[in-house]
Amino acid sequence: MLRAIVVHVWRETLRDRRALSALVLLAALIAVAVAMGMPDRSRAAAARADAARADREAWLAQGEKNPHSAAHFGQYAFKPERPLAVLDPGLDPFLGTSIWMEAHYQNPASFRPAEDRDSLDRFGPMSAAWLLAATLPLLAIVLAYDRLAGARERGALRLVLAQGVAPSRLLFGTALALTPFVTVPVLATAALGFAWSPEPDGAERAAVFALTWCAYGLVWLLIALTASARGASARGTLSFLLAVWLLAVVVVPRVAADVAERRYPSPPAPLFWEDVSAAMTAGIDGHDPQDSRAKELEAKVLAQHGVERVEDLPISFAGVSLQAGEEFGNGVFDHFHGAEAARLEHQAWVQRAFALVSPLPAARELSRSAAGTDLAHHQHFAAAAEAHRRDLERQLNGEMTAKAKGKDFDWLAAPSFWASVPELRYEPPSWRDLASAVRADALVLAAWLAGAAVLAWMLVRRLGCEDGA
Amino acid sequence: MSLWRHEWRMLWRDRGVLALLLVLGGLLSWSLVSGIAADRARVDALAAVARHEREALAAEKATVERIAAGEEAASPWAGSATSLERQPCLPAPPLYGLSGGQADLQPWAASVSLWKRVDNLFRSHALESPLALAGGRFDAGLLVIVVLPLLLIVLGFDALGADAVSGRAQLLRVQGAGLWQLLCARLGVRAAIALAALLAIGLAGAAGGLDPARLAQWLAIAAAYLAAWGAAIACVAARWRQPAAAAAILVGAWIVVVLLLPAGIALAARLAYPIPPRETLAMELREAEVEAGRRAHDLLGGYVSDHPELSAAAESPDAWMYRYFVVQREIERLTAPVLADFEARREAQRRLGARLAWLSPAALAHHGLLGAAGSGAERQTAFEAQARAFLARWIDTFSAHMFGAKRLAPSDYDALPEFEFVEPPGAAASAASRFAFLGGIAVLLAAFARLSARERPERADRGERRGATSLALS
Repeated sequence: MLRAIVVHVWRETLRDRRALSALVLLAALIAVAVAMGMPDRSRAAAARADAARADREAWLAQGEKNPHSAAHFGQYAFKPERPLAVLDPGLDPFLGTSIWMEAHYQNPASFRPAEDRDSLDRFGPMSAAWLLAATLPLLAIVLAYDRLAGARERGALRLVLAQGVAPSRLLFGTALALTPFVTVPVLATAALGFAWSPEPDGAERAAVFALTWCAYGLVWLLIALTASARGASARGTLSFLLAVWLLAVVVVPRVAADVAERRYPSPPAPLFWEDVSAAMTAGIDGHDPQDSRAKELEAKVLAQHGVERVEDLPISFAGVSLQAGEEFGNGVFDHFHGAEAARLEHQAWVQRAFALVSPLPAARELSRSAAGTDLAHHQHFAAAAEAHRRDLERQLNGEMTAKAKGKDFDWLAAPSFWASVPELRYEPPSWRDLASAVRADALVLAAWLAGAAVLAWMLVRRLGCEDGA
Repeated sequence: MSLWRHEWRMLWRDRGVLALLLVLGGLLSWSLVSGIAADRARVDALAAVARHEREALAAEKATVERIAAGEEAASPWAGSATSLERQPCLPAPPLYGLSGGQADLQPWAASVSLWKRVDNLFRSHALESPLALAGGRFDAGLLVIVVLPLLLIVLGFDALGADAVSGRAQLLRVQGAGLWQLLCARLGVRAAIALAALLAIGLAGAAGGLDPARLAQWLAIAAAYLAAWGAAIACVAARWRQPAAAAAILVGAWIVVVLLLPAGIALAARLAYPIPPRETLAMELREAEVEAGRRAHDLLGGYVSDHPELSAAAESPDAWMYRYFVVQREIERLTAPVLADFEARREAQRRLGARLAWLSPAALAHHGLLGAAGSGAERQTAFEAQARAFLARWIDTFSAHMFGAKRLAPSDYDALPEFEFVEPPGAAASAASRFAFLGGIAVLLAAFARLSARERPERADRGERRGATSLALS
């Protein structure tokens, strides 16, 4: 019986030009989005690789220079382009691609691609993940909305149930028959991504991407079938499902972002830097020898070396003072950027709470994580860049301390010195390293799938009584 | 008129419609509340920046006064032009609460001082939450562009088709109800819901003290856009009398016009005029910095020879500061063509996007609403250009102070150059052309709907039969 249901639904669906057209349209759009995204991504990856090379060359070509001037010149850290970003750019357009690592400042990542784009992009960037998020539910709705509601309207449902077909079997058979229609586009997209990705864990990431969107598609298929089973008419079911789609896909993600931002508001950038500057004034100003805290440090260093005058020190006090300023600044930045990271974490949890009314937030987070374009991946990169910046400042100030005695800021390091200062060699994490960040999302999506299945089973079971079989 | 009254009563009896209205009411309220909160946050942030700036200058002035009065020892930085900093700000978009656009993402405050260059005025502003930016705000503009058309479709796609399927069509014909009148009445009462939403937005805007001219532009574009959708629904409902087919066509059109075309337009503009990655731009600046840094002594010498009155500067203990200053100006000179090319490409991409937007009423209305709200690209571009011009003016004014080691008198702090943003012209004309185009589409589609809504007994019957057959088969 189950086989007969599956074959019947399968044949009907293949005959239905609307469903097939929707499927072909979705596949074509994904293909176009990926095909257009690939050169874009290649260009971006090449540009960052070129920029990293150019930055190193500029660093090496500084010639004779004071190490502190070089510290202000700084180095750039370029976030590697993730291969699966071609499927899901995630947060990347709204996160900077590069961090300028300079003396005294822990800068946020700059060069956000979204800044240079048309505001139309905010409607939804043309990417495979966005198309799956927005149109996979519509495909499920088109496939399922009149399966049972339409049969009820025509009186066919009563006939089928009277023939002894169990409602749950009817639902299961229909869902089974329609499953390939919502999963094949996802699997094909993930396969494209896997073929494109040279990463060692590319297969794992593509599998997570595929599982996520397959589960999302199945949730919508079950919701649509359940609504169809309960709907009095195909028209009413379609209207209801479209309204649910609008709320769950268009409205909820924005309202969630809105609520999270209002609950934990971002500080305006000028005020953030004012606060940082105010906090920094409590520390040593390495540029100002008359600074009272610098005087205290001077007394301490003189005592350590058993001398009474700075001129008698075997080292450059300016280097010591600059490093002390850096150490103080590190504490200040740990405080302010730590607060920012905590705020973002809170925002993420507020957004997660909206997973109760839509499966999209959870699916979106999992997809971004698989593509390496989520917040956790960015923060991993930013942390590596900041660790490098602190090492860099330590090495430059150490060079000045050791060799600039008597000349301080007028002392110039030899051109050969710059090659001894390492560049940042960033190794992106594997998906498993950061999987814990999306564990809750995976659980939520699994709960949605299980909940949709249980609800469908419970509601469809009553069909036999209500439809008179 | 009795037909309209009847349709109005029927509409309110439908529980599904009431549920949809409830949802719409919630969304409308949320969009307005969210808009008010966003607007207040921006206004508060601007006020805080202005307050900080005032306090910093007042503190600086007080120090100079104390030094002048002999109450405090002179310091190298007090009264120095190098210590001055101003923060030109872009005033909040007049209707920011209604349509935010990219205004939450782009820089709205600059930092102007003798230490800055034209390329780093807006640096380090990227602190907004990426989660909030990626999610986007649910504002009234989004409600108009995305939600209301879909609501109209759901309410009106079977305006005539439902009668064909239920068999009431024959009955209505017998009673002498014209199809066009019926269509107008049914869609008219449904469109009243969308108009009521616009009215609520208008009233909320007026009560909130929004600029009436801009509010009128915003509402006119929104009304024209929704009228175009109403006419399109009338057209499809009149032409395709099978509800399933009408729904498929309208939902398909909505997906194409509202979701796919805007995304496609943005992508096409990006591909047609690719902007060099900012990383490349940064490296051009680094190379210029190395090059200029190497020639810092020569550059300072050249500057001093051009300005003989500053000849003492090269030998002063502050020579490092002067060298830094001339190096920055040299970097600006060396990279000016690259920056100009970057800006030209960005502008070309923006212009192409604006031209292509005429292909999608949703994209066109979106740009129109942003223009009316003052959240569009033109205003942002104008601000960035004006902030850069202000930096140039600042440098012209105060570089001589720095080289001459002149100290500012307390009274100088009251006469510092002020930044005043000048609104770019053309917003009204642009809104009018968009309104006319969208209104034109609405009129054309309505005329087509009028033609399609003629009595076609044999075709209608065939449609009914076909509808019944397809439903029986499916």
